[in-house]
Amino acid sequence: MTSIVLLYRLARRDLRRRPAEALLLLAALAVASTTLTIGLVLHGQTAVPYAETRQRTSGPDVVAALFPPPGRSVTGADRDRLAALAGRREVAARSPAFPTTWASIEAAGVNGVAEVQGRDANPSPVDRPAVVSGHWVDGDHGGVVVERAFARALGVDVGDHVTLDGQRLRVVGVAVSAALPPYPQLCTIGCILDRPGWPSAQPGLVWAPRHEVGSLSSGREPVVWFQYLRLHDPSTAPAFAARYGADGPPTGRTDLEPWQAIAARQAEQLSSERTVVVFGSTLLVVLALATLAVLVGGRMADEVSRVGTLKAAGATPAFVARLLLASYLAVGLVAAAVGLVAGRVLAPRLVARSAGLLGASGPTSVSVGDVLIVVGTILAVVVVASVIPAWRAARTSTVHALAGAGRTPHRSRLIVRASAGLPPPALFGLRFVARRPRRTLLTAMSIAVAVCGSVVALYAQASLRAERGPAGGPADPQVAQLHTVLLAVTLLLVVMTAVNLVFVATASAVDARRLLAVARTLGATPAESAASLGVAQVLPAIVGLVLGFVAGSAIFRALAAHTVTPPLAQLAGLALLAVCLVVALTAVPARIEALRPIAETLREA
Amino acid sequence: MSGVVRVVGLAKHYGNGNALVRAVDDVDLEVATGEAVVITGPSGCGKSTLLHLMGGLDRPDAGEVWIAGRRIDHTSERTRARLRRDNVGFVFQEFHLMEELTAVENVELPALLAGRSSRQARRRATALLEQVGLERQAGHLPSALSGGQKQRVAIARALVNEPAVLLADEPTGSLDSAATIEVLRLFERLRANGQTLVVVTHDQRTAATADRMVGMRDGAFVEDVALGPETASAAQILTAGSRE
Repeated sequence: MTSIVLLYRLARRDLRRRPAEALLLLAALAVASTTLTIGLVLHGQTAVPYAETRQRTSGPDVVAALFPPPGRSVTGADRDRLAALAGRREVAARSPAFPTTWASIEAAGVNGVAEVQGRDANPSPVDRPAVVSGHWVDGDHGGVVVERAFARALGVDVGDHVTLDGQRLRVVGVAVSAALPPYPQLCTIGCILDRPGWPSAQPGLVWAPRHEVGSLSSGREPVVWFQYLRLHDPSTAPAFAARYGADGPPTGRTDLEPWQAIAARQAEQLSSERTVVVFGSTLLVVLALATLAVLVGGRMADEVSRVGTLKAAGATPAFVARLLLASYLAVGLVAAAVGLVAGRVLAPRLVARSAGLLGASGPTSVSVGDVLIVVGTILAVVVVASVIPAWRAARTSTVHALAGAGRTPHRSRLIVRASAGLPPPALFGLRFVARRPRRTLLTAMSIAVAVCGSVVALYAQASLRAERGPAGGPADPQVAQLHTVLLAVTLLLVVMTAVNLVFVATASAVDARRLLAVARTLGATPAESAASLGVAQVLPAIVGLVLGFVAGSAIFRALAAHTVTPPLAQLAGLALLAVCLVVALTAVPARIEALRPIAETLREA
Repeated sequence: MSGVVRVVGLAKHYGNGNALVRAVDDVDLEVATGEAVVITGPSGCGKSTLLHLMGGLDRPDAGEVWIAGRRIDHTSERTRARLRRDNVGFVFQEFHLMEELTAVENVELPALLAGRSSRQARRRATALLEQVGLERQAGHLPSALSGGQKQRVAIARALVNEPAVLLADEPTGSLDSAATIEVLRLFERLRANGQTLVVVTHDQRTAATADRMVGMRDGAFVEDVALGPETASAAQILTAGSRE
């Protein structure tokens, strides 16, 4: 017990002694744990808004869609089968069958495809879209109501006009429904898109008076009938659909879609975001590991004499190792807690932009499993990064530690030979690289992680642009949201890498302090001294850059169904930016060190 | 006779108020070409600080420092670095060799910094290592050398650019008797060859290798004497040392 109290007291003093270091470490770990939490809880984030939308719009349990066979129209016998289905004993309520067809739509210069559903002015018993502005369709006065996500993509509101297959109609309302997936996923339930250029289009839903549908339909886009059913037991909807439904359109038979499948499609809207966040959080965890390893390595060099004092006072190597670990574990626990709270708060904001649903996202539930994963990952990062240096410091001989002698630099005969005859800045730079191979590896790894994430982001942006289809189409809110998430994750990676590089550059500059002072007594100018530190950082950075490019493109090719290579200028710009970032971040600590008074440094040495 | 090194009214203070330490306090010194000057005094009297100021490693709070006819106390760090590489050689008690560089690379480094070609620098470094008796150790890293060998490498490095003055700070302070003798013989040879030397030391045997001895206490000079024939000669001390 006494030992735990002592451990707590010493660890607390240690953190207070180095507040800036503790805060930076907290920031690195908290960012990693926040993104990890978001990635974990994003799954199922749409459940609450979808349930609310379904309840407020009397959403169906099963959507029945009657598609005609190719080259034919729906016959009376087909419609009788639909009516028979709607009359089954499991069905508690049903809407009328609504005629539906597809037409080109134009609004303020934006061209797209609309799924036009004929509706009555009277509210249906099942599926009563919630009108968020304007009013519902009115057969007497004409006009159309546009699904909210589609209206936003087209940039139209109540009072504006849209042109459906050349027919100019006024937008009288904007509404939300749970019966069909909102734009741009409407077609996942089935569409007939038989005109040139249409197959790549993403239609959006427009409700119009029934008679408009008849005038818009043609042989290419025949009328399809949708009927919405409510069951006595909504949970049996998948079984009902499996029992009575066909494999899928166009079959001339009824296609049945249970509400659970529609909810899953709503959730799919977030799957890309989730993939990006999980991928980004993985990279951020790796970066946090690198940051911590650099921090611990640099700190251990300063801690040697303190370790000597503790051991001289009777502390065992195990106690010293526990002490060195304790402060980092404490910071790790706080960072995990911060990440869990921040992730819980931020995750719903990614969903709130879904215009196809009503209401805000409810509070995110963070399960015990999520907590265990986040805390476990962060603590594992702390232990992996610090256990070896801590144990090595703890096992240092007391006399050696009291003398404050750090670890002997590593020497590589290969690099000694390879660098012979190089100009002094390059010579020193290479020798610094060989001196601390672990630090060199961490620098390369940090750059590789950041570049890998950025390359994946560039590939993803290029693929999204390609999937976007012809210019002039309606905006895709999912794509915009994905762009934002990609940008946020990339920025986080770049910021964390920058923090890491500053750590590495500072640790390297401090480590090379005595050598640079000696070089300056021999006539090296501050610029030459700073340049040698720059070389020591840029060389591993170039290795990291190459690895990052290779890994990034390989990962994207493995994850994505279709790969579009980003423009060469963007990739070259990224490489240039990475090198400039490394040079700029190294230059500051290197310059500070290069201008340090020589006599003072030599006295300290 | 104009001095290779000249300091006028030199002062360097640390701290302030009651804690003010006058490390160097209004010191004047001129070292002539080919002269060997030894500065002695108790620990903390300001000897090393004076040496650092003379070599342009530190800036004085007051006074002037002239090296080879150029005033350096107000020049930029870059200018002082270039002046050091061309005119000043340093030897330290702790050797301060670059652990990452081999003996020959350590020696040729100032020549490379001064812009000599790598072939010229290597040739000069090899010749100097021969002079200090370490040609076989040219490819060794400092960790493979003894203390005396390290200091001889450091002396060779200090001489590679044929400096106007060699400044040595306790050059035998970390050496055993045998290694001390080796180094002192080297200094004796340098003096005989007309190399200007300024050596800071506690060691009486080192003092015997000089033409002149300056005593220092509390940052100021307390004596400045020419070492004449009545002083035990360096040769005698070295002979006595080698019999020990």
